[in-house]
Amino acid sequence: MNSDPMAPLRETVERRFGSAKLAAAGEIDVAALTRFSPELPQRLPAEEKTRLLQRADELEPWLQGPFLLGDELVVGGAWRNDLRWLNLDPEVPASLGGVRVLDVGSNAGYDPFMFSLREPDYVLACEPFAFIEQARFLESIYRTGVDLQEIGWQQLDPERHGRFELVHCHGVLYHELDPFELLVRLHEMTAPGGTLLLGSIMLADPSLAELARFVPHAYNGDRTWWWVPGPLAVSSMLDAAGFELRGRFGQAGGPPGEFETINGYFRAVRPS
Amino acid sequence: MTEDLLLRELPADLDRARLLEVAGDSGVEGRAQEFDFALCRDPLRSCPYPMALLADLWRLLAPGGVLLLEAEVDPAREHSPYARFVPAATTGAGWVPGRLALRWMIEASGFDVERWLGDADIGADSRAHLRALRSERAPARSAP
Repeated sequence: MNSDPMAPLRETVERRFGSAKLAAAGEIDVAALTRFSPELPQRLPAEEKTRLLQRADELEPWLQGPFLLGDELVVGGAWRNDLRWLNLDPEVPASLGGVRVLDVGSNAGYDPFMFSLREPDYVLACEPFAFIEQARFLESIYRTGVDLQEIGWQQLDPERHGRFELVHCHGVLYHELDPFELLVRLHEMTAPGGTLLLGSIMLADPSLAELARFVPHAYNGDRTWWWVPGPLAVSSMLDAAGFELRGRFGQAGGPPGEFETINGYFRAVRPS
Repeated sequence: MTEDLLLRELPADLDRARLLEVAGDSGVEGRAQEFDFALCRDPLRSCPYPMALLADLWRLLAPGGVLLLEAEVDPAREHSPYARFVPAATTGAGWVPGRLALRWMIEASGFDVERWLGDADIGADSRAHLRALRSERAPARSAP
């Protein structure tokens, strides 16, 4: 048994970023960070800070962030999920009362923690890789009640997990060898009338919008990319999976690499 | 002509029990390493999960086994590394790759492309034929 579940991830991240110890990207205004728990202490004793920092260090590499742990203690990551939520925020109802939320590919849990702040009935967060240890660490601090499960989307089953009025999946599609299979499963997990918010890296070139590029070896050192679809290819797959497309939002530049990419969201509904 | 390109790659003394034939969306079944040859006509155009199909073919072929594949391809040279998702209400979805994408898909699935058959590799034909060998390299998996 591997005593350090983060070790394989450190190797992957080090290959991609040159280091497994990732500093938060850009300046962070601690006062502006989301507090995932109202109980977060304004002041932390020195020994508690040391303990939290030591555990966060053991859990490197952090991709998601920034996470406020209390006081002015922040775990940063390679990604600025708080900035992504500037676009996502207006697309999610302010109150999720009566709603079951499914988050697929939760990583350290930033998105399910954000959903939990809107008080849904239930949040299921799926993360099959060791990043879930980061989410568990954070949940031990935040105590949001998010149901963190170490499963991939392949293990999702509407008979077992039920269906969800809101399904969120960001940053998973282009890691799949058969991306359409993921969308078919997300459709199965979405309640009739429910909404899918799908975010993905996509091809930036409008002339390639209907196509998907196969990535045989790596994209910018990341060997986990397989297909990068154009926006129209994603729309076509969503439609074929049974969703009705309701719009796109949150378009931003994608990570640099062998070809130009963009990041963006689709809003789609499973017809009643 | 199309059948000739694939069939002529089969040895005259082939044990037909060791030949797997796949046409369209017929699917593949069998025991691991049951076959020495897989002859596949147009399986990707009507297969929504092409990488799973290619991984199945790898599993069913014995090491060194031969994959003979005919596929509809995007003939535009500038589209060579790309594939087109083709939704179809009646027959199920499928994929039409460019030639380079097709080669990469097959190689990522544990095969070594030995050669293109005919002259389709250099032409603007919308059909490609190729011969690939099942390697010891396992098919790629979606993983971190």
